Amino acid sequence: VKRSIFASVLATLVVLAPSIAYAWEPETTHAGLAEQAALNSKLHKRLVNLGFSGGLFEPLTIPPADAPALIAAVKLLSPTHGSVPDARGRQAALSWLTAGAALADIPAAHGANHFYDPDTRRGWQKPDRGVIDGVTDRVREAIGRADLPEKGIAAPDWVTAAKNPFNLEAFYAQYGKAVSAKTPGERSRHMASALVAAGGILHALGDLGSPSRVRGDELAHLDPLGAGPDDLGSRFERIAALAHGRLGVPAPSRKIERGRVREFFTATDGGGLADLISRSYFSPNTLPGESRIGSENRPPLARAKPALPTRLNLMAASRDDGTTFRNSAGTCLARYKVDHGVLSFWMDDECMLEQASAILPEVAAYEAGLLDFLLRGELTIAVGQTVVVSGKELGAGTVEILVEDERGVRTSLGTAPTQGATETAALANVGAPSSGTRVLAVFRGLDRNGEPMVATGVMPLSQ
Amino acid sequence: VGNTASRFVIFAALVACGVGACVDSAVRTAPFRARPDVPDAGRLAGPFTGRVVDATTHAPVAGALVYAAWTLERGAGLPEPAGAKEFVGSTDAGGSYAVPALGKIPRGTRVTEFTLLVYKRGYVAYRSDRRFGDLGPRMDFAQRENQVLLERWRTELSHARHLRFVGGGTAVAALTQWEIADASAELDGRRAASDDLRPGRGDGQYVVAAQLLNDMDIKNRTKFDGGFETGPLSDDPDTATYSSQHFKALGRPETWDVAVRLWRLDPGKAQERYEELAGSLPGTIEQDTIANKSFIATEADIRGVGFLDAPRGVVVLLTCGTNQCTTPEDVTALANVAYGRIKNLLAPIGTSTGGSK
Repeated sequence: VKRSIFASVLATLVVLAPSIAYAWEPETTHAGLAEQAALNSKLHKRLVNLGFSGGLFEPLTIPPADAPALIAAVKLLSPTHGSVPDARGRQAALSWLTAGAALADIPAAHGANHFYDPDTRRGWQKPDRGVIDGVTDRVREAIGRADLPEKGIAAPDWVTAAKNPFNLEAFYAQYGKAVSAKTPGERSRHMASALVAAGGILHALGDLGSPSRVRGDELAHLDPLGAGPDDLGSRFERIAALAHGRLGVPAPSRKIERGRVREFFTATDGGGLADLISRSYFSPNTLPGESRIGSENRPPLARAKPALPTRLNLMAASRDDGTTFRNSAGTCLARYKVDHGVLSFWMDDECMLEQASAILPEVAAYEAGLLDFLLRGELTIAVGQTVVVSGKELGAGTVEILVEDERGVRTSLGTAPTQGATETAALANVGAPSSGTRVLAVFRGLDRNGEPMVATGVMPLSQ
Repeated sequence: VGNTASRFVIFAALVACGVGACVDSAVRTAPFRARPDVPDAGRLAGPFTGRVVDATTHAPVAGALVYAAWTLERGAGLPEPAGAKEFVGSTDAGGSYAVPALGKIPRGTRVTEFTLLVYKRGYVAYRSDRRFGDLGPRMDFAQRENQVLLERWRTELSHARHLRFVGGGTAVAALTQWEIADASAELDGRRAASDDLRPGRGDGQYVVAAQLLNDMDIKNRTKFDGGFETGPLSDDPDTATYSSQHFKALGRPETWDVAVRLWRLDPGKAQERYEELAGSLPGTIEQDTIANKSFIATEADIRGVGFLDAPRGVVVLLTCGTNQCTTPEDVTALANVAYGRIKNLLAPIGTSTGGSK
């Protein structure tokens, strides 16, 4: 009864508080997913290890004068969700990550780069909305109220695209500087910037947890949701935001491990998030088609999966409210009913709510796994007469060794190229510093799979 | 059944409103009621009014931060965040707040969300959209005549969760600075935390310092004609064994304040706690006129009375400024009121029946 009441109230809210978005909502669902990823990853420990002693709650500062465009964009977010820095550009590390997760939709056109259909291997394509809606769209575009791009870059490509300000290159560049920069202030700024980029990357991945984004169903993102002609969006994603908000986004169901960034999105083994969601769920406009009872024809499917059961319960489907097609975990995939001899499928709000509640822990699992993947590089430092840095599963790159003094100032002791090592092996060594509070090392290069990587290590020095 | 039916009525009324003329194209229809006792949807643009009270005592909470934010959005199909409008205020002496209606918003934007946050140190923050305990959606927020019940903060609650819950805003961030170290320690595993907000935690009946004395008890004794802001003392938060209540005289110096500290321990530990207090406070004189043991102490402008009720495992320290309690008899009389409440609320440890209500 409780669930039914909640679904009823939820349905009310969708009607009453229509729309937002064409994506998981940036300031609620995406921010919540990024928070869950951070809380269930190695990020806190890594921050502490690198000298940001408060970990996820360490205040980090990006002075507005240093990044006016970024700060202006962050100011477009609502402070109530905890991702807007103070006038000095200061907020917690966790807040910078969630800010990045929300900023990935600014400007709006970037949102078109958060789609990927594994069947067609394409991203967003502007849908055909028919004559009347098409004219409305063109009028809207003409007066500057909206401008839907014709095409978007597929999400797995977008995270490495040069046009993406929050791409992998930006993350690794800032992350490396967050260790090697001279002063605590500079390192704080670089770490905040790295976290913003990481948040943007998590956003691009997380969006592929929405079935319509991975089944070529762009039309589902232009549903009229009620608050005026401009208020178009995905009803499914709105329901997720209403039900879970930022704070109620569930924790990861598990931890996903993959060998390459792209494999978190899509992979030949079907283990990417887009692959998983695409084959497991329908979207509003890719439901099984209508079919006449008694004919030889099965309901036509837009995709081979999810497949319909061999036998549908046509007796139950003949009731006025039809019946439900559920997966093996009991999650509603669609409703169906028989009316005047025609079998048809649809998805109501309660069914969407069940799906969102089942999907979000999976999305969080992929995001937590990706965050750990970004932070995977670890170096070991031994200090004796010399400082010896070792690591494993590294490809070619450079190793920089630094010493930090009691003021927190870091000075480079030397940089050496390395061909890397599959097993733990010495990568570089320099003479031990005569003073200092700790020695640090940064590897910038590739991992054994040829993926970009930054690896770090820290060794406190006895006083 | 009645509850289900009433929710259905609310639902039906809201749907009727939603498909009717309630929708404003620049301001979404609010996902909350206009008032707690009516089914009509409120207005996202406000204005908003309400009252903040202590969840335990229902005493008004004055001086709490009231932070409100309207989220703005622009675009169609591919919308983007378009900033926010903020309001920062505080509750008055009666715990009431008023948030004025949203003014003009930038052209081409729409209001998508309104969030109210109430924060006061010593309490769990309140959000209009989510509950702290289970982070589920809050369904009882109303635009007008809203009632905010602030749960008292306890040391075992999670600061990491609370900081996430509170969110941002410069004014809020400044007030929550003190939680950062504990939040970080939790994530390091150096500090255990729980999110359990249920009253009556631990063994025995739920009794806290706020139940032992109220502002009328004080005014009746001292003839004070001003008002008090009440809440826990800010030095140590409530725990399973300790609680406090501060009566801060409004617009007066500390010498008009009254405070009650209550420890509930097993009898042996209660004895130790009492002796620690008696030994550490200056100018202590044993009186033994209240419960099993009691003392009176005076330091500068503060008078104090401590007592031990060993069978109940209770130690109480009541302090009162010399402008409020002009004689030692005043503070002793207030301590006697507190002891009377304890006898009514708590049975001695080991007995099967509780005290009368």
